[in-house]
Amino acid sequence: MSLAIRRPRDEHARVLELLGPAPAFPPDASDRDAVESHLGACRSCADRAVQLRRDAAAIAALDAGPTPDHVLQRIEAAMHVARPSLSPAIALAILALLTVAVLGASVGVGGLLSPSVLEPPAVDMTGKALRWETERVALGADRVVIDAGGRTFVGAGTAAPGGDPGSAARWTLELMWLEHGMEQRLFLYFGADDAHWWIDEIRLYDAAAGREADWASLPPGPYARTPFGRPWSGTLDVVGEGRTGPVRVRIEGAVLVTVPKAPLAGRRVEAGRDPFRAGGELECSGILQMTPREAERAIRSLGYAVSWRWNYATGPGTGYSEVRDEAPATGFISGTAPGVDGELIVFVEDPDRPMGQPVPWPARCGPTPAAP
Amino acid sequence: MNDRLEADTAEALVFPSRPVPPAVVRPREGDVERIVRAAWDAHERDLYALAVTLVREREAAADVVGDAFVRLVREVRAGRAPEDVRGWLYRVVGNLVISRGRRLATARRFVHRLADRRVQESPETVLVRKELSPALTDALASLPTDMRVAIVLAARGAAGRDIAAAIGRSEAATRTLLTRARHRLRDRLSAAEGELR
Repeated sequence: MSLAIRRPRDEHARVLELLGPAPAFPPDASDRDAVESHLGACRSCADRAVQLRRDAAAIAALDAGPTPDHVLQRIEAAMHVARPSLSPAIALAILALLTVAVLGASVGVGGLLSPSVLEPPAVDMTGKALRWETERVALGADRVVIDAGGRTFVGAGTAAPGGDPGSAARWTLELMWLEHGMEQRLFLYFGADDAHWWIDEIRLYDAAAGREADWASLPPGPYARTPFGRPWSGTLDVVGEGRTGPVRVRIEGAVLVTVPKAPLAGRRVEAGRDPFRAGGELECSGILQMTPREAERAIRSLGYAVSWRWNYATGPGTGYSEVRDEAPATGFISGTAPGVDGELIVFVEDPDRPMGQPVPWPARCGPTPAAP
Repeated sequence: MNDRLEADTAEALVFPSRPVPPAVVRPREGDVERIVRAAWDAHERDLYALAVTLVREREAAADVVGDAFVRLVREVRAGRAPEDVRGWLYRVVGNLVISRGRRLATARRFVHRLADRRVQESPETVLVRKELSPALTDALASLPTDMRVAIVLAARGAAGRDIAAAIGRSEAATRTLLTRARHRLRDRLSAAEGELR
C-alpha cells in the first residue's frame, strides 16, 4: 500500500483513487499519511481534493424542506393497520377475506367469481426454508437455484422482497440480492383475468461480469395459473437463454399465494366509448377544463371508475406517465382514454415539463363551458 | 484554491468526517409507533432531501420516503428493527430509487395495455435546479442511476456498507464505483465550468 515505492506517475493516480471513496470508505492510517504528504507537494492533486470535497458539500447542502404531510398520514395509516403480516395461517385467512372483499366490490377483473370457489387455502408455510411476503404476494420455497453465466446462485433467501402493487390485472414480486460479488435478480410478473391469476413472466439476471449484467430471456408464461383464492404449489423450473449462455431458475417446493389489487369501483367505460370523445355524453361538461381535483370530484359524482396518469417529459419526444390513484394536486388535464379494466383514465400534465397540451373547450359546445 | 488549501491541508479537508445525523435512534421491539415516530422526527427532512436529489421530482421523492418508512413499520413490527435506523433508511431509499428506475422501464412494457399513449422510459428532469446549481444537476443527471445513488448517499454521509447494500454490489465494487463516479462528476463539472468561461 505504501506510496513511497511507487513511481511518481502512479502516485497521482493512487492518490486520486484514495480520495474518491472517502469518507464513506475511509483509508487506512498509512494511506492517509501518504495522501496528505503527497497533497502537500502536488498542487494539481490538492486542487482536485478541494474540488471533490466541494462537490460533495454542494450535494449535501440541499434542503428540500419538510416532507409533504400526506406522507406522514400514509405512514400513520400503516402503523395503525391491524396485524398486516402475511405469515402462515393468518395470512391465508386474510387473503381469503381480501379476495372476498375484492369480489364484493368489483365489477371488473375478479367480478365474475363466485364466493363459493374461495375456500381458504389449506397451506402452511411455516415449514418453508425461504419465505417472502409483500402486500400482494406471499411466496414460500424449499430452495431457489439460479444457474446463469456459469455460476449457481442460491442466495435468494437474503433478498428483501419488493414489487409493484400494480393494478387488478398486473403486479410483481421482485427479489434482488448480491452473490458471487454481483447482483442477481428474480422478478415474477403476475397477470390475472376474471377468474385466475398466473405468473406472466419470470426474469433474472444473466450474471455477466462487472456492471454489464442484463436480463436473461426466459420463455413467456403463463406459469402457475391458479383460480383466485387458491394457492399454487409445486416446483417452477424454467430454462432460457442469456448473453452469457443458458440460464435456469428452479423454485423448489414453492407455495405461492397472491391477491390482486382491488379493482376501482364505479361505472366502466367500453372501449371506444370515452364519454369525453366528440359527441360523447361529457364532451360539453367542462370537466376537462377544470383543475384535476375539481375534475375528480365531478367524475366521481357521475359514478365513473377513474384512474389518473401524471405525465412529464424527460426530453424531446419522450416522457413518462405515472399511475396515480387520486388526481394530482397540480397540473392540467390533457386528455382521457378508456383503460383495459374499463376505468376512465385521465391524463394530467406536469406544468413545468408537459408532454401534452390542455384540452381546449370544444367550439361546437358553445361559448361557455357548462357546469357538469 | 491553493491558498485555501494551505490553511486546510489537514485531514479534515482531504478526508472530511461524515455529517453527523441529527439524532441516533436505537429502537426496541414492541413499540412500533414510538420507534417510527422517532425515526420520522429525526430523519424525514434529511431523507426527503436525499430523495429529491436522487429522483428530482418532489412527488416521486415523497413516494420514495413514504415507501421507506412503510417498510420500516413492517420491519419493526416483525421484530427486525434496525439498529442504525438512519443507515437503514438511506439504504432503502437508495434501493427504492434504483428499483424505481427499473420500474419505469417495466411500466413502459405495460404501457400499450394501459392506454393508447406513447411514453418512453427514463425518469426525471427539472426541479432540483431550484436548489442545486444547474451544472451540478445536469452532471448528476448524466450519471447512471447506481453511480448517482452512490455519490449522493456518500455526500450525505452514508457509510460504505450502506451504499453497497443500496446499490446491490459488494463493498469493494462500490468503492471502485464511487471513485469513478466522483471523478466523472468532477470532470463533467469542470467541462461545464470551462464552457462558461
